[in-house]
Amino acid sequence: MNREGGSGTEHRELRELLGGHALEQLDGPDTDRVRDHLSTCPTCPSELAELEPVVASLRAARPNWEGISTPEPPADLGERVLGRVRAQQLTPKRPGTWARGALAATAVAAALVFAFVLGVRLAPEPTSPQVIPLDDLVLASGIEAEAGLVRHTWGTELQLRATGLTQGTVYTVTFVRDDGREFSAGGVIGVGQDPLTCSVNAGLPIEEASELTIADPTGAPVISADLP
Amino acid sequence: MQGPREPDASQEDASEEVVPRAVIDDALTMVTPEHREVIVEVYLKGRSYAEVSAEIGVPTETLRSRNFYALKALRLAMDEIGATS
Repeated sequence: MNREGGSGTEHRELRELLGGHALEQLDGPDTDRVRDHLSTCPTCPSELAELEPVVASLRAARPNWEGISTPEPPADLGERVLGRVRAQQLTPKRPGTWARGALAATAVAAALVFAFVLGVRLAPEPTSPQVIPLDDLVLASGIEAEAGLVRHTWGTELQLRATGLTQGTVYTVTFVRDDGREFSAGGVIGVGQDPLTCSVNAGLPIEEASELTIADPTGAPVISADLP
Repeated sequence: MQGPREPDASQEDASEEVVPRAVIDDALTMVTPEHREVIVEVYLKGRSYAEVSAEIGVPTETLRSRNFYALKALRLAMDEIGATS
């Protein structure tokens, strides 16, 4: 028995059954196993709770599911585009290659404008990322800094604003996972007393990140924080 | 393992947070094709794991663990959209 309620392999299997459990897809025996596990495991109940908003939303979408919806252009849009092209078409004094070329160019231009407008309309609305401030930074002498984290599907972003990092010195940015493994988020070059504002990323889910360290070339931390 | 069951009305919780359908659509486009596939095929379309497994050549055990990680990815995507608090 480990702290997660069962052997490592057993815990992993039961943890991965939480998806089917949340979606009510498990048969009776598996449901009983998961319920027993949830009653003793210190971590799986919270993982299951995190899935609840997703499950509730999927459940609501399911009865009328017809695929991922994408806005359809108006049915008469093609005819409207052609109508605009026709309206702009001047009767050529000398029908010939030039006139046909001009008509084709107009149609291509109209199509490009249409594609651009449609692309803009279909583009998702930009959303501002939610920045989680790091209030308890440990700073080396002479350094001032503010920092925050942004949760992404692909990992964790650090947004940093600092002064006092030695001009021209390369500092390494590292996230540390719960189990001690380090994940590099690259490096930044100090700009002295000028404000340094940057954003760096690590391929580590924010939930698994336990520590942030920015270190000088000797490995000495100059900015660090325990992560919430 | 069995196919998806119809939701049990007795377990419905009126307090559950349900986001607009468009948010689910957006979130599904933000996860990997494999994660999207397992959620769409096995849950939203109501197909059995065995049926989907036979069609795409992925073991059912893999599909059901993928189902879990797909839900976690969807949760992160919804967080990123700002659909959860």
